[in-house]
Amino acid sequence: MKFGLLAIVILAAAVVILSGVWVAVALIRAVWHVDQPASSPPPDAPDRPAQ
Amino acid sequence: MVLSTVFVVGYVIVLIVVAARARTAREYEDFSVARRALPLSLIFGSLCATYVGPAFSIGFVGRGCRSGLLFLLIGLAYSLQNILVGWLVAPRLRELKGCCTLGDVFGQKYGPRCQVLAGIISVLLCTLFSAVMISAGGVVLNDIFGLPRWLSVTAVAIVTTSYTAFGGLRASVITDAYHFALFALLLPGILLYELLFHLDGGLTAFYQQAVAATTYGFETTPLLEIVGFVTAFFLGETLIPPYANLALASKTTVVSRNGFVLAGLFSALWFTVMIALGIVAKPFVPAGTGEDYVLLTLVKATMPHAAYALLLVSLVSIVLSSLDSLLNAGAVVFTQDILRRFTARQDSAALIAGRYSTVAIAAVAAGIAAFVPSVIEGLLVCYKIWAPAILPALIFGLWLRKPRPLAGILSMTVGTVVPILLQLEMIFPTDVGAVLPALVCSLAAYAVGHCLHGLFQGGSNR
Repeated sequence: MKFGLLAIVILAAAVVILSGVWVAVALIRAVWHVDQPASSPPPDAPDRPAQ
Repeated sequence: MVLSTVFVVGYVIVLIVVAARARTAREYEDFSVARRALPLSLIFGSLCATYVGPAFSIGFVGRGCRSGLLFLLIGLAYSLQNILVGWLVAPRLRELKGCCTLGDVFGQKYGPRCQVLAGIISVLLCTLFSAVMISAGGVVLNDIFGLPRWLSVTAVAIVTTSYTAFGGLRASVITDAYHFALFALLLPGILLYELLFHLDGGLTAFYQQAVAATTYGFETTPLLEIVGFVTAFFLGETLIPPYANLALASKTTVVSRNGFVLAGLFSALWFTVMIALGIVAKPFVPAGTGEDYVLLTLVKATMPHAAYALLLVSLVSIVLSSLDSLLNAGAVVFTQDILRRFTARQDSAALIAGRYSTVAIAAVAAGIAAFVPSVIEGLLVCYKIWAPAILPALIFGLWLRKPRPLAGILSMTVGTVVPILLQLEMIFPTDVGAVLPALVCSLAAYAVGHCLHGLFQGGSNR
C-alpha cells in the first residue's frame, strides 16, 4: 500500500513530464514550419473525394 | 540573484520569440479558428494549459496539504467531464459546418436570437474569467518584483493582449504550448526533487502524512459541501468558450475527440502531482500558512533561490496561458455572435473588430480585477452561471432532431438569472451551491419552452 501510493505519484510525475516533452517537440515543429503554411495540406482535404 | 534574473529574462525572451513566430493573423478564419488546422499535440497542450490555472496548481497544492487525497477524488470529476465531452460532444461540435463559436452552434440549432443570447452570456463569462486570471497574475508579479497591484495587473493585461490581439487563436495556442511545456516540466520536477532529497522519514512518513491529511479532510468537510464541489468541478467549466473554440478549431473530429480525452486523463495525473506536492510540503509549512502560499513556502524552504524564481516564472506562465485563451475566445464570440449579426459582416472588418474586441475585453477585465476577492471565489462565481445557462440548451440542441427556439431562450435566461439570484441569496439558501438547483431550473425551463413551442406551433398550424 505504502509503496503503491508512492509508485503512483512517481508514475504520474513521469507521465506529466513526458507530456511536456511531447508538446515541446510539437511547439518546436510548429514554430519551425510557421513560415510555410502552404506546405501543409488543407485540413479537410482527406475527406473530400478526388477530382 | 543573478541566476533568478537570467531565468526571468530568458522566459520573457523565449515568449517574445514564440509569439512573434506564431505569425500575425491575416484573415478572420486564422484569428478565430486557426484555419481549423490544429494538430492533436497543440490542441491537447492548449486545453491543458488553459484549464491549469492558479486554482488547479497552487490551489490544489494547498488543498493537498490540508485535506490530503480528498481533493484528488473531487478533481477526478473534472477529469471525467473532459473525457465525456471528448467522447460524446466535441466530435459532434467539430462535425458542424461553418461554426466558429458555441453561439454559431446555437444559431444553427435554435436561430439567431439564441445565438446573440449565447454570445452575450459567453462574453460576460469570458470577461469575468479573464478578470480572475489578471488578478491572479497581478498577485504573482507583485510577489516577484514587489510592483504595486495596479501596475502588475496592467502589465499582465498588456503582455497577454499584445500577442493575442495580433496572432489570434494560433498565437494563443502556440504560446500555450510553450507555457504548458514549461510548467509540465518544472512542477513535477520539483516534486521528484522533494521526494528524492527532502522526504524525511521516507516512504512510511509520506504514507502516514497522506492518510492523516485525508482523514482530517473527510472529517472536517461536510458531505453536502463535497457534493457541491464535485458538481462544480464536473459542470462548472464544461465547454466554456476557449474549450469550445478549440473543439471547433481541431484538424479533424478524431483530433477534437482525442484532444479532450487526453486532456481529461492528463488532469487526473496533474491533480495527483499537485496533491502529492501538498502532502510533501506538510512538514515544512508552519501552522497558519494560507493555502495559496503552501507551494511557495515549500520551495522557499527547501530549494535554492533560483528554483524559487523558476517557480514564479512557471506560475506566470500558468496565468498567461489561461488568460490568452479566454481573451481570444471572448473576442471571437463578441465578433462572431454579436457584431456580425448586425455589422462587420465582411471578413476583413471582422478581423479588425476581433482585434479591438480583444483589447476592450482585456481593459474591462483589468478594471474588474481590482474587485476580485480571491481566485477560487471568483472562479466559483463564473462556474455557477455557465453550466445552467448554456449546457442544457447545448446538449439538447446537439442531440434533438428539431430543437425548439423557445426552449433554448427560456433555458438560457432562467439558467443565467437563477444562479445570480441564488448567489445574492434572494431566493433561498442552499448547502450544495448554486449549480445544482440552477441546473434543475434551467432543465425545467427547457422542458416548458419545448412544450409551449409545440403548443403554439400546433395552434398556428390548425
